[in-house]
This record gives sequence, C-alpha cells and structure tokens, in this order.
Amino acid sequence: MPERKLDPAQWVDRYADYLFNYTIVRVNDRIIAEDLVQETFLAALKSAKSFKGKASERTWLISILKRKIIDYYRKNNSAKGKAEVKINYNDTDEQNGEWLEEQVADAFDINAEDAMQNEELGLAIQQCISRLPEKQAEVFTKKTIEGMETEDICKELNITPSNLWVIIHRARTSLIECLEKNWFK
Amino acid sequence: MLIINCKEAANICDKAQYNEAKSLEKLQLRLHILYCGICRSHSRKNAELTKLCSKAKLEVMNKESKDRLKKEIDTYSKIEQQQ
Repeated sequence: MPERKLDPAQWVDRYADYLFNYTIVRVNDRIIAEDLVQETFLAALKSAKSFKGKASERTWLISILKRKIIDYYRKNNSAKGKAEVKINYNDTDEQNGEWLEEQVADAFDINAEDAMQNEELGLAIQQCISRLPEKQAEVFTKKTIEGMETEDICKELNITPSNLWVIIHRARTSLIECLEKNWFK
Repeated sequence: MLIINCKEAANICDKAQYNEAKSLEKLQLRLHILYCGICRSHSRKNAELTKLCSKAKLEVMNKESKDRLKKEIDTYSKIEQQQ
C-alpha cells in the first residue's frame, strides 16, 4: 500500500461535514461544533509532521477531534458541574483495545442505541458523499441535506435543471452503491 | 403517452425523491416498473436512500464558515512552506 499523504487544501471539502456531524451529535450546538471542527483542522496542521500515514486522513482527523471534544467537556465540567460525555469509540475503522471498558457501559437504553445507529448511519452517508466527485457532492448536498429548491441551485451554480438532474442521478446511483457496500453489508 | 423508457423512468424516480414529479409522471413510472425489473429494483433502492438520508438527520456546516476555514488552512500552509 502506498504511504498516505496529507492534503490540507482538500480537508474542508472532504471532511468538514463529516466531522461536523460527528461533533454536533455530541455537543448539540452548531457554533460550538464549528469551533471544534476548526480547532481540529488547525491542530492537525500543526502536527502534520507527526502523521505517519498509517491511518487514513479521516481516521487521523477524527482522533484529533475526539480529544478536542473531551477537552471541551472537561473545561465545561469544571465550570458547570456535570455534563455527559458521549463518545462512541466503537468506530469501525479504529478498534482500539484501550476503550473496551467504556464500551461495556452503554447499549442498554433502547433510545441511546437507536440514536447511536442513526449517528453511524449519518456518518456512513457523509463518508459516501465525500467520495463523490466534487460537483456531485455539492449538488446532492444542497438538494438533499440543505433542501434547496432546484431553481435556486441552478441559479447559484449556473447550470440548467436537466444538468442538475443528471448530476443528482449520478450522485444517487453512486451513493446507493457505496451504502450497499458499507452500510447494508 | 404513458410509455416511457428507462432513462425517463430514472429521471422521474429521482424527481419523485424530492416531491418534484408530476402526477402523470408518477403514473408513467408506476406503469414502467410493472414490466421493467431493473428500474423496479433501482426505484426501490432510490426510495430507500431517501429514507436513510432523512432518518440520519444530516447536518452541514454553513458555507461562510467553510470558506473561512479554507482560507485559514491555506494561509497556514503558505507560512509553513516559507519556513
């Protein structure tokens, strides 16, 4: 396998929404989530030299983000008393022995389990979106997640409605394929 | 008028995911998937994708924040290169 290299110029397009979703589930506040994602990217830039290319870029960024979220709760806890730290270490691509103890505690509450599954689903979709060609990802996100009107997207991106539907079709077809591989297994 | 090809069926199916298919189009699609297995299977998966996306309650970071962040990363990278 070729050694993985970092490509910071692409980070925002590729990972910002993924990291943002990961964070917002845990801190429940858009502004704080944006701040944490920003801090994560900046911290990643500063420690780029220590990236050895063993993990994927995304996994590495998530590991930095996890620490940022924990720090955030630590700071908050000292000021406000107790707050729940909700970190799901059971990520598919980084099984790590150290966290096993913490995994035991969860999982009983059906709602929590449900929420966790929805979160994993969200991240799986986000990951599939980030693998699309840039234009497809952009149009699909605007239409599906932001719920923008066809007309408005066409104006903003200067494309015709039939262009838009061709792009949407390609995006959806790739996403179905990607989710079949990574979600429905 | 009621008979459409697979390409048209796919297009209507995509529009239907965003509630943008007209009644006549929906009828055309329903007829088409009665006899076309490929489109039937694609339609089912396409609808499933819609369901999953709404279930996952996806969020996106707003565009201004992203642009700001891109600039910051860009500036930082340039400074790094100069050193």
